[in-house]
Amino acid sequence: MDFDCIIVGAGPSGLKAASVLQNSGHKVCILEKEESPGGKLIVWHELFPHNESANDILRQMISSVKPLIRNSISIKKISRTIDQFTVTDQNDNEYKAPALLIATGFKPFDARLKEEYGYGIYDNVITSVELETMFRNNRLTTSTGKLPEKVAFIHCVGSRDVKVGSEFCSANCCITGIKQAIELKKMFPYLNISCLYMDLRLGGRLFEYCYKTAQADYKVQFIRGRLSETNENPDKTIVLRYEDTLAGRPAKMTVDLVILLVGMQPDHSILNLLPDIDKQVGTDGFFGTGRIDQGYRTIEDGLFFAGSCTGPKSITQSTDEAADVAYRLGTFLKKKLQSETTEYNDRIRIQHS
Amino acid sequence: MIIQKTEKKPFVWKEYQKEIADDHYYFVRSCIRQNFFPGAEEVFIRIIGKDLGKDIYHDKEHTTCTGIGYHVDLVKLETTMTVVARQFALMTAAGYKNLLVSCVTSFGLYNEILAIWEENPEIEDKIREYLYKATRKTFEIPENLVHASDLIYKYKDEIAARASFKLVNSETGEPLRVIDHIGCHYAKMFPDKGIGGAEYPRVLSGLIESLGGKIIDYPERRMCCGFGFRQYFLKSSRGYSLSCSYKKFKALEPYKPDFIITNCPGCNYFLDRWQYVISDIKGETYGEDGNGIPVLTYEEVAALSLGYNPWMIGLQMHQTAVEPLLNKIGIEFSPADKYKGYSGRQLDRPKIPELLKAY
Repeated sequence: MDFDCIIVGAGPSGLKAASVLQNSGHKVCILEKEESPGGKLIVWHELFPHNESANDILRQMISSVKPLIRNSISIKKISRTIDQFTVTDQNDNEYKAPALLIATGFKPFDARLKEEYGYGIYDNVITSVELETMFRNNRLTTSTGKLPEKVAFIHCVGSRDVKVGSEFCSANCCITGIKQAIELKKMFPYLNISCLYMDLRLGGRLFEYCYKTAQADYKVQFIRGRLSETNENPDKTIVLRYEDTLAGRPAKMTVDLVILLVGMQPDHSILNLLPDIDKQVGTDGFFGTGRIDQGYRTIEDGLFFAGSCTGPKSITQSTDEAADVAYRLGTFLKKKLQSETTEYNDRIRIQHS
Repeated sequence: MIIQKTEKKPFVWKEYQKEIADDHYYFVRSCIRQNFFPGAEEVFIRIIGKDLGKDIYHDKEHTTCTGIGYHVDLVKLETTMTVVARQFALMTAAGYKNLLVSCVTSFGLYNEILAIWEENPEIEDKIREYLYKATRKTFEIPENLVHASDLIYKYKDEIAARASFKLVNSETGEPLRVIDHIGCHYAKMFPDKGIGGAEYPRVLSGLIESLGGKIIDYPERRMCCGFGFRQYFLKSSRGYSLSCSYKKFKALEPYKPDFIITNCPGCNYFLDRWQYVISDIKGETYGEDGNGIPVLTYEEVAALSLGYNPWMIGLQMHQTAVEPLLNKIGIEFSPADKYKGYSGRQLDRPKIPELLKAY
């Protein structure tokens, strides 16, 4: 099967790039490993900062490119010749194209690595991803089936943490935590919510407003504190032991549910299949270089990256980048076509002379 | 980051899997263990040397590691390092490469010194010079540094296979509920030097599970026993020591444990003795019917399982009475022999406390 471009990953950036490329007349196919497209949007309930429904956004994204998506594709091999990529799937189908766009996104940090936080050990320690699933299912209880009365969010789990080898800020967890805290409070107005943060990094548009609203209107309590360990009480509630870093003293808190705001990790599942592996990965493990001039350099090899596989990004940032990359990819294809045409014309001229 | 599957805890760090030499150990004793409960160390040597048939060398030449002096700022670090270097020299002279440490304080100190030397080789050179000037001795760095509890952990399945008693309630058949308490200096200083790391150490829980007991996870599990060197040795701050232990007892009380197992002499001593003090001050006891919660070391637990006589391994040296536990497991013992010496002569009996039950 021949295409102009193969996109790996049908998340927000893959879908956006496909839509842009399709509109400029290119033949595109999207390979998705899951049963349905959407990437992390599938599990998300509402999106910051406007609490838009993730389902609605996803439906809009998919609507124009649905026929291009091939689900449940597991890539076995990626090979390349001078001007063509060949992607082979689990059924030995071959997809050929001069350009390959990697939009494989991120993977949430495996919170088990912060073993002192008790994830995977205590039932009432969950991640922000699991909380979204609870929101989607409209069913939120503790492991004992009780409605929670006191909840704590732990910021920066697997972000800015040398101990687990991820030193970067995931950029989206602070606002995710605030959004989730507000959602929780809307569900259970009596809920007592504490957020244990080390810094609040709310650089996006309206993020600061959300933060203020969370405090003023929803009475979410923000404590500058670092969690040192969690323990379980006989009734399955969780004891948090943390340092209040403003007061400079250790403190304890008992809560019904702990939500770990897990960071974004580079997803390397496709890495070994890519050509020139070493060149593709930055020091933080994400693809590409992250340089400003990256977009202005001539791309000669036809391999492109977009979305959160090139660094932690929000959906808006991912789709913005995807649109930009799709534009560059279109230029690459056009140039390639031009040079092929010139070559073809030259050949004809030689034959005639 | 590599995580590996184990049976009980599905994910643990690979670097927390500790390598423990199979045989030939140079044993360094513990100052306080020999004073607090001398039977424990003796039975450890017996289990490893006689029962398991390993080569364990105990040297009358070696001295204290000065660890407690160092931690209370009485002994200079250089002095401590030179003393430790001398132990290494004795080990080298005896032809051994694996250092087996009886005390958790020493174990932490040896690891600390080795880490200092690794990062600052010039300090090691200086200490070698001091040692040579003082004693004309030279030394090799131990190839394998293990704590005595590591070794019991390594051979836990062999011990369990030979065990006459399992850690189950002989009447109900239920597994005994056990609190494990790991010495802070075992893995909190260097998590990769302990089995299972600092957060969820396996060294004692593994032994307990092999012997049929059940480990209890409770909120103050990782907190200090209260010893804390300065907390206890400076008389003015002794209240911290007591309140620390008190906090632990209050946290573990609702779980109704049958006994506490420790791998550190300080922890064993303080969790044991403070129960008496707390009963006197607060009028509280934490076991059933006015009893305390017995506090045992790893080798005492192993020895009881192997069928050793409780009084021959020195269980009468614990202030919190162990008789209720022995009855629970179904171990037969002679109450009359409790305070008899090895020769059979009747020794002095301790004063019976008012609140905490004693037998």
